[in-house]
Amino acid sequence: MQWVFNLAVSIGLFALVGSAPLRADDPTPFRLAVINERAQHPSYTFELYQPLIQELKARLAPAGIVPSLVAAADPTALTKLTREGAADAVMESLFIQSRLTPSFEPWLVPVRKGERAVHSVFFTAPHSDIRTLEDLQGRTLAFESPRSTSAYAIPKAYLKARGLRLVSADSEHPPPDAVRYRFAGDERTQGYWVALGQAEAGVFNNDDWAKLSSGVRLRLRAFARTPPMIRWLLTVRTDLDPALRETIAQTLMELHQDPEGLAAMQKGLISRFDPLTPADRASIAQSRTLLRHLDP
Amino acid sequence: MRLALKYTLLLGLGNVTLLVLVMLMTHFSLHQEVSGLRERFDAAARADHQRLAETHARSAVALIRHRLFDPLFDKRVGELERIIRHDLAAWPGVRRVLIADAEGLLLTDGSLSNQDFLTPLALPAKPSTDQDFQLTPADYGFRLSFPVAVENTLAGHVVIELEDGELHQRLQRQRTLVEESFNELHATMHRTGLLSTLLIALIGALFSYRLSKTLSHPLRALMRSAERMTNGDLTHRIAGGPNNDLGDLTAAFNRMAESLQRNTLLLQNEIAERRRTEEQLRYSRDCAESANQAKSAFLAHMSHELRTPLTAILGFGQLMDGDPHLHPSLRKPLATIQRSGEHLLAVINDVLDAAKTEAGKTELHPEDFDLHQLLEGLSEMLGFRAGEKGLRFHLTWKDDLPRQVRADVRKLRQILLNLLGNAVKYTEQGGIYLRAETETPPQAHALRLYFEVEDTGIGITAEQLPHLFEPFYQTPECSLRRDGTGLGLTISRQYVQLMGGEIQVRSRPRQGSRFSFSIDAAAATRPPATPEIEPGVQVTGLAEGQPRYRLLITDDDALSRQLLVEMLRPLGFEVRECANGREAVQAARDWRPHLIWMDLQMPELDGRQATAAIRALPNPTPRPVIAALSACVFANKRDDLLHAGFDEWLHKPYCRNEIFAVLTRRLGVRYRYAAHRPAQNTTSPYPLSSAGLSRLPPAWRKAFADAIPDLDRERLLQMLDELKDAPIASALRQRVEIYAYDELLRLFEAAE
Repeated sequence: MQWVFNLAVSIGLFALVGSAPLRADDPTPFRLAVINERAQHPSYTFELYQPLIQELKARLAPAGIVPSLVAAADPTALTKLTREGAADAVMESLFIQSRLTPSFEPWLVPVRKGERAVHSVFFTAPHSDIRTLEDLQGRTLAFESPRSTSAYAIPKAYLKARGLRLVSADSEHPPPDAVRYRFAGDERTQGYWVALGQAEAGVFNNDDWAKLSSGVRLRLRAFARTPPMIRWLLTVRTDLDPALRETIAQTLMELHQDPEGLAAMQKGLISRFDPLTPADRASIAQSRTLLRHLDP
Repeated sequence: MRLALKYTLLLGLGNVTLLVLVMLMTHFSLHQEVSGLRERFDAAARADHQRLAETHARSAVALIRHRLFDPLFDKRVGELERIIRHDLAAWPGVRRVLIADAEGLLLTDGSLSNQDFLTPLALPAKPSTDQDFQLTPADYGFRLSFPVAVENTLAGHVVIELEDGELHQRLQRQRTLVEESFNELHATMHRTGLLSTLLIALIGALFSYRLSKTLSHPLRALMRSAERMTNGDLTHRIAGGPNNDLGDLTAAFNRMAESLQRNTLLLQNEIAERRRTEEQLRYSRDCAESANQAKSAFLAHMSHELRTPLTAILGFGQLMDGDPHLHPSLRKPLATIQRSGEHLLAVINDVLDAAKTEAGKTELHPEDFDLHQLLEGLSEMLGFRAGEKGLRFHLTWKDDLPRQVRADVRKLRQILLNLLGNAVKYTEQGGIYLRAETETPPQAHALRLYFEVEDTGIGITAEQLPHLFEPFYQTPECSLRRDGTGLGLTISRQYVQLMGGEIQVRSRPRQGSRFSFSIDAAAATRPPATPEIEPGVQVTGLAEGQPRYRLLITDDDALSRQLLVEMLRPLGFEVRECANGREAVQAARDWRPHLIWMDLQMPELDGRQATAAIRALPNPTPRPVIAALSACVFANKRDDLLHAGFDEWLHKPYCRNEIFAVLTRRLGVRYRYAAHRPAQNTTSPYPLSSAGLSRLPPAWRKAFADAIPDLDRERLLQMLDELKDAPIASALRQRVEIYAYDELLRLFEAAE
């Protein structure tokens, strides 16, 4: 009988704990997932976001919430993590977010690298005869990498939405009117390729365009752009406790109001967390609609 | 043993010099050695560093070459930049990394700006595709360049600039070590040098002690003896002396002292003798100067005392001569008085001129004049006298003889008058020749005039020639004539010398003489002056239409005043008299005369003081012309008088026409001249010249010449009236009056 009693007490206690998740003596994990941006530098993600996690730990400790960082090696790993329930929130670009399970929904807008929204810029050599997006047919276009939103996904979707066909430049028999694309690996190489004639056009976001070195910039000419889109998005598990969600959101949105919080964010190139506005929701919806053109 | 001093000195000096040379050479050699050591250390360190750098470079190139190939081949410049920034930049000493494509165009230097993108990169001439690399020294250290290639596929080039900070640090450490070693050596040398110096000082002290015994002591004795001799003690001698060169020097010094003492005595005697002679000479010179001053004072006094009465005699004689009411029986005695007075004046002038020249008080007063007119005037004057003796007179000059020249015309005239006068005087047959020319072509304003007077007279013997220019010297032939002062040639030679020349004489007895001389002159600086009143022309009054001129006469001598009053008032001038300078100043202020005749020597206020006071009067209208009148030829210099405020200067005695000429020159006074002259001073007829006659109208000249042989005096006078008051008409009228028809005929024939 004693073990029955013990079992009953345990069940009762468990029930009690389950009914009071925000208590300090019952830590609640909060797992923020990101993708490591530098494959050859595994600790890079932690260097970026560990200060933020530490600051959140300090601020959320009274509420019994223990934040932690979950780093995915690539988008596939991230998708797997979310699918397995190993992440409570994901901070990534819109394109990566669009590939997650529907169990995550937009939550906050991290203002990263000083820009809330970006657009993609199409560029070519100054004396090139490419003037419109349609002129790209039969030409080589340099994207950054398959996981890039502004330097691959959005512009590719944008071109496809305009009825253009895109094939890899490595294809054995590409149609003559198709846009042949190649991945340069990074934005600066995109610019160098177009300047050196390795590719006839390139595309990346307006922030990368502004950061181009002056020696390369004068050998390039912008000729088209996409509509603006949210640059970085924080999504949250839809089944996360609303109170917990509210507490964390409030903490995140207050970080930029004091120096310590600001410093913790700036290491990860984030200046603040904004709440979603109706316009943001509309922009996200528009981008997602656009990205559907990428579906096979 | 006798050791020559010079060898002792040379030995000591040689030892010291050798020691110093050894020290200097040791120091220099050590310094060179240390410098060489430093350079060898540096070279070795550089070589080691080069080898080390090459080893590092070889490893680095092997490490990086393959890693760079793929991104460089694909031109993944962004990846290359990451490799530069995150990998190569971490290498020690990397200053800059440059990556270029296969063509050598710069892809990136790793910087964000990448300003030199696609600019050509300086690479080895023939890029290799093998494993080689190039490591070349550069300003900053080394330049490592290597191609990035696999097999024969060249992807591009890499240049890595490496700084050699480590080499510098190593070199610095080495140099510090060498410096420290050198400093230690230096300190050792200093110690050695100090010890050497002490040794040299000790040797020097011993050497000096030796020298003081053999050299200094006798030399000081010599010096003391020389000082005693300098102070006048010539009897002092040096006793004894060392047994060396200094002993010989002492003996020579004593011999020199004896010789000096002997010669000094002789010299003192000679100086005393010369002083006595100089005293005598100074006394003689003072006596001579006193006598000369007394003579000058006497002459000055006599000049004044003689000229003043002569002024009255000649002046009143001229006035009487011009008086038409003078009884004809008195004209001959009057002419005698005039001639005697003029002769006396000539004698006085000669004596005074000679005295002035001797006293060095003769001055040149150059003025512009018509040389041709002067020669023609002399020709007419002397030609007349020659004609009276039946002699020919020839005046010739060369075409280039200038007409207007600048020289002391009065002295030139006197020279020529003296020579021509002598020629006429001592020639009884034949002729007189006056020649003139310029000796050298005119250069700028300088001229050299040459004159020659030749006669066919009695001539001068060779014995007489050396004495010819001595004062009062007269040849026996001259003495017989008993005329002249014997000063004419003396004065002429002095004047010629004063004018920069010398008189030359060539003569042969009974054949004639030739006197020649040259003088300095200049081209005239002003145009020809308006002709003044010609001598001998009779002024009878003032021409019409002139203001009434006020003339003030200031002279303490009443006769002199009266002479001027009688001379000027009858012509129509308003005249006042003053007996001294004070009255003259008062009259100048109250009466405002046009011209003041001012005697210089007067009581109370003399002529100079009065002139200064008149010139100080406020706004005198008209400004009075002041003409000085002086009987003293010594005391007054022309320039001094002009500076003292005088405008003109006349010597006493003066003639009427000189007075009238001053009035014409200064006030512009015009005169009427006598149409008929009642009497004529035959001793000074007005000179006529054929040149002057040639300027008359040819028709009139021919008619007059044709009338002369008829001896019709009235007709000739009527024809002369046609010429009205022209001076030449007066001269011709004068000749007609005295029936000089033969002279007139000769002149008119010459004029044709």
